[in-house]
This record gives sequence, structure tokens and C-alpha cells, in this order.
Amino acid sequence: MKIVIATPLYPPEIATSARYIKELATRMAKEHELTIVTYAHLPEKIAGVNILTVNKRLLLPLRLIAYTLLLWKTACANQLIYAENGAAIELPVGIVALFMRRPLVVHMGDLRAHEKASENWLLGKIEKFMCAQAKKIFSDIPPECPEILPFEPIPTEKISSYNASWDSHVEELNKIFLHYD
Amino acid sequence: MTSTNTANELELITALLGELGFTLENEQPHLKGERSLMQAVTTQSGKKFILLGRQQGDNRRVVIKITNDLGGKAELEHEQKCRKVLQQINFAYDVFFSPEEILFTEQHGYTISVQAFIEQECAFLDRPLKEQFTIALKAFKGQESAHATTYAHTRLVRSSFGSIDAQGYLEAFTTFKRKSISVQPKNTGLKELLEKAHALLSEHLYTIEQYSGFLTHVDFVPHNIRVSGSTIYLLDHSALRFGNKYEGWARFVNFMTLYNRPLEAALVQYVRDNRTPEESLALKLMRIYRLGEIIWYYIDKLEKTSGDLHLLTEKRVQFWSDVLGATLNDAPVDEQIVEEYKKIRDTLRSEEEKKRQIGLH
Repeated sequence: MKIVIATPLYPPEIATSARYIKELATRMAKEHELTIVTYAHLPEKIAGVNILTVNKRLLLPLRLIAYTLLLWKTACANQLIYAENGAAIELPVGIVALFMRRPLVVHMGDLRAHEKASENWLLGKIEKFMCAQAKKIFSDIPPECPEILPFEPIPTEKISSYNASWDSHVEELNKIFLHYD
Repeated sequence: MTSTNTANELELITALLGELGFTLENEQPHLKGERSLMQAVTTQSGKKFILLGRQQGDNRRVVIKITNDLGGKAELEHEQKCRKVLQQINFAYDVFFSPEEILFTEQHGYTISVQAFIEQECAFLDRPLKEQFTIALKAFKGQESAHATTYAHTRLVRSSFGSIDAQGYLEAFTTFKRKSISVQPKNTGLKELLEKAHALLSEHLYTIEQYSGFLTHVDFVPHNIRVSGSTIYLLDHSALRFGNKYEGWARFVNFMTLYNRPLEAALVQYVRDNRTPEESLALKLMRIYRLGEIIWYYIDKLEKTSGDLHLLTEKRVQFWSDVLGATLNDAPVDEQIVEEYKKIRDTLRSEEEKKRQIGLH
């Protein structure tokens, strides 16, 4: 399936949601044709995944327009939009999903951004606008990758549980995506 | 600065500080040894006194930075600006801690900065290895959490911390290389190493740029942090800038090559095990950059030193060149080279410097 992933944050950004998107794309690239649309300068590459960027250093209105146009163009060639929440992409994602009628799945993985939206009237409205276009909203997120620390044994159990958690997350997503294939 | 001049100036400073409600302690470690003869590798080129004192009344211990030198004043003002902006960085996900500023003033041509002295249970290197690793990692993660990416971020930090990109690193390294070779034209070994290093940095500009834009403390070494409980206090805010996120790591890891080999190895291994291959490469490139800088720093000091300190400076050039050679080959420098250097260093250091070094790191 051809999927566009819209995300405000992507590595080398170190936010949890950025790392989540990279891990998700790495794991799903085997089964799907993925394109990530994000704000970045020089994003970390993933084999087999197309990553399109908008310069974050543009003024806010300019970067929102640039993102909307890039997402619109990309969505034309894709069957589904998978969006990670965050103020910087919610308006473009909402607009593209509304006017292009592409199925939209929203992942509320960035709790900090969600909290901000609940505290700020404008951000709250934008988040609601995007969510109103979504076919499915969910917030499950696998745990962070356990760290391998030099003076401690390798956390094999935690790594196994991390991988299992990701397997089940990907399986769940595949079930959702299958519905729109 | 001669010792008579220093003594006279200190007398003046003591009186000035007395008027402001501060008394100097008898023991002043920062007035002794090499530090008083050579300025730090990375901080801006200002001259200043760093003094330990007490606040009259509550007898609270304080660190006083005072100077009437133009460069020194600029450095103190820059540092204060950085401290303030650090508190405003709303794009940092973690909190940075700075010692409380008790006073910042201009009096009789002197700029004076007084900060609370942070007591710590023991020196960094006296802590168990695992604890040292945990503290260092926590500090690096704290720095990395500030990433200047948007227009607003860049505008906020440009006027305060300063920033450097991949091209800036390459240009600076080119200068270190050119000057080092021009002072030591017969040192063909060093020339070869610096050219190899320069070629590697040029080849991987993309990777350097990819991890740039992060807050990094370019003089991140144990004597520039203090740890109290689980809180890490950053000292010397003038050494903060936005650059490659591994620049601070690189300074620290290179320092540990000399002071704590297992910690050096642990940090390199941590990056290898937990981060992308590009990040391991970025750490290597930054280590190379910082080694080029320290080699030039000591080469530049050769003509300004004499006697044992001159001999020691020569040994330092050789030692850091050896470390550069090993880093270029992705290998740790031979333990024998480190031990032999330390032995020579200890015979060439003055008694005063040896005393100053106790508990410093």
C-alpha cells in the first residue's frame, strides 16, 4: 500500500515522536511504499523510504504553506495519510484530507503537543479540525527502545518485549490500513 | 602579568569586593600553576580572575569572576547573556541548572560576577566509574534536548550563544592545520596527520551538518561542571554554543583519553550501541576537530613558554598528535603512550601546578 506519513518531528530531532516515526517507517517499509513528509534540514535516511522535507527555518506562515503544498502533491500519489499529531502539521493535514478525500489515520503520539492543544484555544481548534477529518484516531505507542549501557548486562528481556510490542503495533496498523487498501 | 602586578591588583580587588560585601578566602587555587600562565583552550580570549570568597553576613561560599580587561569583560557579559537565554529556551525539553547569580555589576572599571559556590560530595573523577558515566550521559542528553531548528529558535540563539555549522568547523580546522604546519614545517608526521584529518572532515561535511544546530558546551570537562545530589550545574556558560551535538561529547571523550580510559571507551561504546552509525561517525569527526584545535593551541604556546613548561608543551603536541593518529584509525591510543606521557608530564609540572590539580577534576 502507498502511504504518506505526515510528521512535524523526525530524527535527528530527539523527541519521542520523532524516534517513533523513524522506527515505524523502518519496520513498515518491508510491506508498504512509504513517503515521510516532515520539517527537517538533513533527515536521517531509511532504506527504501522516501523522505521529503520542508525547511523549518522559514517563517511560520511560509512553512505552513510549503508543507501544505508538499503534502498535497505527495498525497495525490498515495492511498492513505498517516499523521503524527503536532501543531506544525495539523492544519496542512486537515486541509489535504478534507479536500482530497484521502483516508486519514491520526496517531496521538506526541502527548506534549496534545497537552499544548488542550491549553491553547487556537491550537485546540486546529487539532480538532484535523481529527474531524480522521477515519481513525489512536494513541498506542510502543515503549522506547531500551538502552544498552556499558556497565550493565544487555537488557535482552526488555529488547524482546520492545520488539514484541512493535510487532503487535505494526500488526494493528496493518489491520487498519487494510481497510482502506 | 607579573606576580607583583597580580599582588597589587589583588589588593585593589580585595578592597573593592569588601565594599560589596564579599571577603576572599586565603587559598585561591585558580591563581596558581599553568592556568594562570595559559588561558583555557576554548573560552574567548579574555583575562579574568576567578576567586573563591565568602559573602559577609551569612558566610556563604561564592565564586567571584572579576576583570578590567576588555576581552575579559566581554566574556563575562557574554556569559551572563547566555545564562539568561538558557532560562528562556522554551524548545529545550529538559532543564539546565546554573549556579545562582548573586551579583553582576560594574564597579570602578571592573566587571564583577558573583555566583553561589556549588558544594559537591566529591570530585567527578573520584566518583565510581558507573556514576561518572551516568552523570556525563545525563548532561549530554540535557544539552542535546535543545535543538535550534525553527526561525524563532535560530533568532533567539544567534544573538546570544553563537553558532557554527559544518562549513564553519571545516574552516576553523583549516586554520588550525595551516598555522600548525607553518610553525612546525619540519614535523612531517603531524602534517600528514592533519591533512588526513582535513580530508576526512571535508568528505563528511553532510554528517557534521546533519547533527548541527544543537546546544553544546564546547569545554565540557569535569572542572566546568559541579554535581550536587542528582543535579548537574553547568559552569562557564560562555562555552555554550549551537553546533554539532557531538562537539561537547568530543571534548569530554578526548579529555578522558588522558584522565579515565574506561570512561572514554564506555562513552564511545554507548554511542555505537544506541545511536545511528552516522552519529558514531559524527563523534569521531568532532573528536578529530577538537584534536586539531588542541594541537594548534599547544603549538601556539611553544614560543610563549620556557623551561619545563616549554618541554611539557612539546610533549603535549606529540601526545595529542598520537591521539589524533589513533582516532583517525578508529583505534584507542596505545595505553603505553598515555602512561609515558603522564609520567613525563608529572616530572615537568611545577609543585604549584601539581597542588592545583588535586581534586580539580
